[in-house]
Amino acid sequence: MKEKTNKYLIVALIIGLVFHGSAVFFTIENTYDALIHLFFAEHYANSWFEPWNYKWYTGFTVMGYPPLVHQAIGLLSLIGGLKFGMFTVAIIAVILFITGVYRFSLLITASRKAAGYAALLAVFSSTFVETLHIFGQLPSIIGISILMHSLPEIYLWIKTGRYKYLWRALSLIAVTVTSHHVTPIFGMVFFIFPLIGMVIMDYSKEQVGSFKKIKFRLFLTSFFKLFKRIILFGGGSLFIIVFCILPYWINSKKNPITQVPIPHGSRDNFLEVTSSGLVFFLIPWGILLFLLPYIFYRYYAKRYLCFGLSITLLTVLGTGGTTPIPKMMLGETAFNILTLDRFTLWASIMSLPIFGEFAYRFAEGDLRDYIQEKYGAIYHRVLGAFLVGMFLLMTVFTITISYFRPMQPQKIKMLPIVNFLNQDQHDHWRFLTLGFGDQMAWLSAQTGALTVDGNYHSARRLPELTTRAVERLENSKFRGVEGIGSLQQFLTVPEKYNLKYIFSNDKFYDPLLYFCGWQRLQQLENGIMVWEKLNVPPLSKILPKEDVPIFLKLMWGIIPMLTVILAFIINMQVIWYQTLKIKKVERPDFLKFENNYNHFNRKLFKPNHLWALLMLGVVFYGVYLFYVKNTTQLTGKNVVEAYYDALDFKEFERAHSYLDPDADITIAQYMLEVSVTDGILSSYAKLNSIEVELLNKTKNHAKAIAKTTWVTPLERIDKTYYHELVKKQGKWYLEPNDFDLDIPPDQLFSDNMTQFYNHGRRRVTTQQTHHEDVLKQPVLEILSAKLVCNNSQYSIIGELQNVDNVPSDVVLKATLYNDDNEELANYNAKYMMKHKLMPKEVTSFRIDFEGIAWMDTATTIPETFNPDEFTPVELDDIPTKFNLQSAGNVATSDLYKQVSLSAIEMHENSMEGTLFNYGIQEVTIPQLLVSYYDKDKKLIWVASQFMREGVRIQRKQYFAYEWENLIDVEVLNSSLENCYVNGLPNESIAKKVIPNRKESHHQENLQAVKAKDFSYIKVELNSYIGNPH
Amino acid sequence: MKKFQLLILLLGLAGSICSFAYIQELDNFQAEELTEKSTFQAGENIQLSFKITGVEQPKLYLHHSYGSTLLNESKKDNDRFIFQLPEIFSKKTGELTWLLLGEEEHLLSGTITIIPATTTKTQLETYLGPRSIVAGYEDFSMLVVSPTDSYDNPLPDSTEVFIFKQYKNRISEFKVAMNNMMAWRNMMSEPKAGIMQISSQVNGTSSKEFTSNIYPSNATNFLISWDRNHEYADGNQLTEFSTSVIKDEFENIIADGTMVEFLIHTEENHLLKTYASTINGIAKAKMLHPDSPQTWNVKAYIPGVAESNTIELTYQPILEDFPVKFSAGNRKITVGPLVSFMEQLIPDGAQVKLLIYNEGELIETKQKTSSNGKVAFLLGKEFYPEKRYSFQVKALGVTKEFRERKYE
Repeated sequence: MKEKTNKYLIVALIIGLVFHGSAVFFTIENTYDALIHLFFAEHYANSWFEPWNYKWYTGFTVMGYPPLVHQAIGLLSLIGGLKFGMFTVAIIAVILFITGVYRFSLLITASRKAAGYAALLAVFSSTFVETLHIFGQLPSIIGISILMHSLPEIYLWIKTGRYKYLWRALSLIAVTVTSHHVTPIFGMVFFIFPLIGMVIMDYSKEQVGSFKKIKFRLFLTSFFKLFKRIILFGGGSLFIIVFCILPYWINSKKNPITQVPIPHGSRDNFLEVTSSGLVFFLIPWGILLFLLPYIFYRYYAKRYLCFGLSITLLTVLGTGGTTPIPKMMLGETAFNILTLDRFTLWASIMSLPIFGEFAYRFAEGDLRDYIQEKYGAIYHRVLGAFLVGMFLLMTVFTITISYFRPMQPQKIKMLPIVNFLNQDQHDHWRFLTLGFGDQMAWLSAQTGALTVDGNYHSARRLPELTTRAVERLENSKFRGVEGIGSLQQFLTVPEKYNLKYIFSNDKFYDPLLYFCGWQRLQQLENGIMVWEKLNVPPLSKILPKEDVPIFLKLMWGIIPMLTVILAFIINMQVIWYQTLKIKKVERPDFLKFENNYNHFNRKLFKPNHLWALLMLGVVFYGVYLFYVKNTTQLTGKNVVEAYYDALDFKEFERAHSYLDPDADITIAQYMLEVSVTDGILSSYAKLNSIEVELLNKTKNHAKAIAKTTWVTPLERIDKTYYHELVKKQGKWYLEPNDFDLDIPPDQLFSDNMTQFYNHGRRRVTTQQTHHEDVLKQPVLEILSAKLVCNNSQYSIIGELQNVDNVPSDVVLKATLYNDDNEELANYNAKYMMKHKLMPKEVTSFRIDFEGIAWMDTATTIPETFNPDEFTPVELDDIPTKFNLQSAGNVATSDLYKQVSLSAIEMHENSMEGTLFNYGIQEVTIPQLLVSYYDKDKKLIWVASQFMREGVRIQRKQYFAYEWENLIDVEVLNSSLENCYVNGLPNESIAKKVIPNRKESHHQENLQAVKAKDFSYIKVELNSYIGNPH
Repeated sequence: MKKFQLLILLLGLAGSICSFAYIQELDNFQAEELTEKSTFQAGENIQLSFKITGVEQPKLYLHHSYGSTLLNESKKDNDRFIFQLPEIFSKKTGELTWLLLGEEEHLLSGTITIIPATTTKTQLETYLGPRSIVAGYEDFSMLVVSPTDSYDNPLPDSTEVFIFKQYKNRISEFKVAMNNMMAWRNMMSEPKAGIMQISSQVNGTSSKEFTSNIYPSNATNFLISWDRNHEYADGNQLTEFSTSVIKDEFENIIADGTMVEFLIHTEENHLLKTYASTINGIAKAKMLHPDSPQTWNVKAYIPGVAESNTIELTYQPILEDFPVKFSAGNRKITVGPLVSFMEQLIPDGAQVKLLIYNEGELIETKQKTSSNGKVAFLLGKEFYPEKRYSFQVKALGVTKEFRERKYE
């Protein structure tokens, strides 16, 4: 009989190519992983045999990820650029996947029609759509596709023992392993072992004539008969898995993953974290969830028993943290390293043949006959329409999910950034991106400049990163304390990493950058703000690198592509014959084991219906829950929570709807009141938690205390709000709060300011800046410096003045020494100082010595978010001496000082006061720097507080400040001996620049306070301006 | 190797002591130097010729600050051997030791001196720093000039270097002799702030123009004054403090942007602050009027450097009293109208505090800002269930007490 081309497969391929081929252009660049692969591809395109990449972290080896897909993209990029390479590989992946599913289904069902249906369904299966269009896991897709291609060959080898099948199988396994290392390893367990089980079943069946007659004993004897082939295949593939990516294994052994696991949504409890449940369970399974009983029934048929066990295991493992079973099965370590979504992916792929079989039976087989006979044709059509509708709906929903819930920031035009890095030798320093999402990889692929960050977290090397569950510094705000904590260390001591430029796409980080001493350089034409830090040395010409032997480099560069070529040559013939039908290909053995599609098991019909109904019920219940959660005005508590939720998301119209309608506050008025508040709380905070307590509750009235915690880039803010609530017509409302009616004195006024500009380099040259264009470093003077100990934490405090005639940016670095002059720790001044000083301006400072948080992985990481979390450095000895290095650089920005302290009131434990902004810039975040002095007017401590609200132009802002507890403060060493300014001894500078310093000024400048531990304070102000004009 | 070097050194020494026309006779070898010149100018074509007999392949070993090398003859004419010095050696000044080697032994040695090519065009390498200095008689920028010949050899010591300095309308000229490969001079500051431009010239070659900024020196004490629209403590208007033109000891106006701190001592001994930076020596800082009568003592500082006189300002009360009305069963308390110094309603935003007491105990402080001169407080029954309350109302420095109001 002449075999005809399978129409379903052809249709599937055509639709697949059109559908995915066009969709991929709109989706893949926004996926999580695709751009990372692109970055790796760029690496291979430029240095095929050199595994060391300097661009990310402080250099890392690309031997940490199998290279085939990257190399393929890199190779194709030489024709039409990187993105061309990626799209081409993605389209190849689509073809491989559809044909792979077809071959796998044919193997399982032995029915060309069922397999054709499976191939069609594979095109639209939500799990594939998600993996390709949402996750962008190209290597994983190619890996599993090739694995599916290899399954029939493995079957035939074990069944027939003909070596050509073994070669084919092994060649395909080799391609799989070089594209994705996890796939063949787990594929061995979950796909190949069950397949071997199936072969043994088939083999046994041939002995006894029926599956029913197979007993365990027969199974075992068959197993031993086939044992040699199994071993030959197993040994061969083991060798291939080890050999083909040998450099990878050596690298993993050399650099074991010792880092703290990064939380992954697939390990969440899907019932608690519903978003993870959606992405990692509901979408991959999709409509298959309705058919689970059928799928399990079929896979628990005797022939497929091993597949049944495998799919059960995969299903259970895929549930992540919902049940404790996956954790128990995998163990703590594996559970925390593996991303469990792949199990669901494999389970759903494994279901596809059965799904195809079901579709075939439903559309034109026995199931259709049964339903039509029993319930009539109409029910069959309705059911069919429902299933097809649901299936397509799921696909459309999946592919568009990133449109409705963007998982990445808007696409950023990289060219201005690339140009910026290329000009003026900006690439001589490292850079960092903030708020770029996975697009940072695309930037890295396009520029030769290096970043401290990276997007392949297994390759992280700096302890600042590996000890924390931070995927990237880039998105550190989503990782709470650990993220911001890591980021802060990079921002405070950037010279350690030669980090000079930051590209910020998220203004959330702006205050953090400002208070760490960074300054805005310019806004690029794509809207990205460039921040810069002064006094950072450029990268050295030669950077450290971990070299590997040449044979490993050669293996890494040659083997992957070689496996493809070999696989192509070995399998070419078959593919050629099969597609073009030139020569009759012998009928593969597995087609002998046809299923009986004439008699649908009626017992299954009802349970599956019930199950589907149950699933529908669950869906409706979920929708209902969603609705109930949103009835916000049912109780007083709800309305307060809803109000703050609305404020948090800046949905002011919704917030306004919760206000008492009789209070006569129009939305316009409300918006006006909202728009005039600025500051860290209204512009840079995210609501972390809210706890509402109702007081004096009567039937229609209540007083509510809302205890809120807000996360800001600088600190965690706890704020308590009071509200009066009223109930009207069954709904609770908030009484609007009073707002400040203060009006500024002047409608129009003028102000004069000295502004500065520094040309940088005056000559157009590609060389280093001419020495005559380099400005002299402004001269600073350290007025006092002390080593103090507070609560067994050591700090350096003191005062510093810019004694030059130009404004200065100040970098302060302190080092602690013990009695034997051994260095114990060093750190830079972070928030506790004014980093920008006008001529003759004084700032107090405090330098705390921060260690790398949770260096010791045994200490538990606190679960609550606190960006201000401080990990004191662990000192080996008691510090007794210190060295203080200050460096000035001419500053031209962030010099706004026109904020006055217009009223102050002292209390026993606190002070209250008013700030007044008399200039023409709105201060977004004012910072109070408070220095404490003893009765002899000697400095004993420095502290600071960020005010929650900004100070608008010509307006007041009230503040309250609680005294620090200074009982344990002890001044250990007060000396200016080892203080240096721009590398010169402070003493000589002090003598030269201000020889007759008037010490009395300092004495007259202090505010007397009646407090226990101190007698005087000094208040200084530091203003962060969010939107300078 | 060491021995060999020592040998060369000794031979070199010996060679330089002996006359150059040295004839050595060793067994059957004979060598004689024919070149008579021992001093060359850099860049000159230097050839050393010898008359050598008995050696087939003599070699010339050269040792120089640039390095060492071994030469074959470049030309041979019977027993006359001519060695051509490579350019890199002949371009570089300094002593050059040569050693003529036979097959196994040295034959002759000697030294030649290469001097800078003063006849070629002089080139200048010039540095000036620091680029900004302070007015007066102490600070200076240092100019370092390193003139070289066209082969980058420093010119000989005591070469004359001319240094020019332009300051205001004066151009001065200095002559400095080179010493140890360079010439330098401290360009002293001037008592008047400004720009000092400096250049240098050697053998007709001029340097670029260099600039040193002379900034004003430290400020001296100054005076402050105030300006305000009216003298009332309305908590709304601004008082502006200005300094006189602040100058240094040389009468220079101090650098723009210099920070001046204005410190205000209140009657309650509180320290208020406002800041300003100078423009043309004058700093102008503003301060909000207090909202209750006050006397301020104001003094300005440039910390550690200079200070001002102290001035005293008094702010008058804008009102003596205000009406307070209880209505709606004492549950609504209306304060105002608050009228200002010429019976006008005070500008919106005046702070009014209501302190609520029950049986002598403060239970709550309510705070509101005025609108159209009035503030209304509502005491809802739900929140204030007690039978009696007494109150204090505070506004603009006036406190009014109300005893025991009864509630249902």
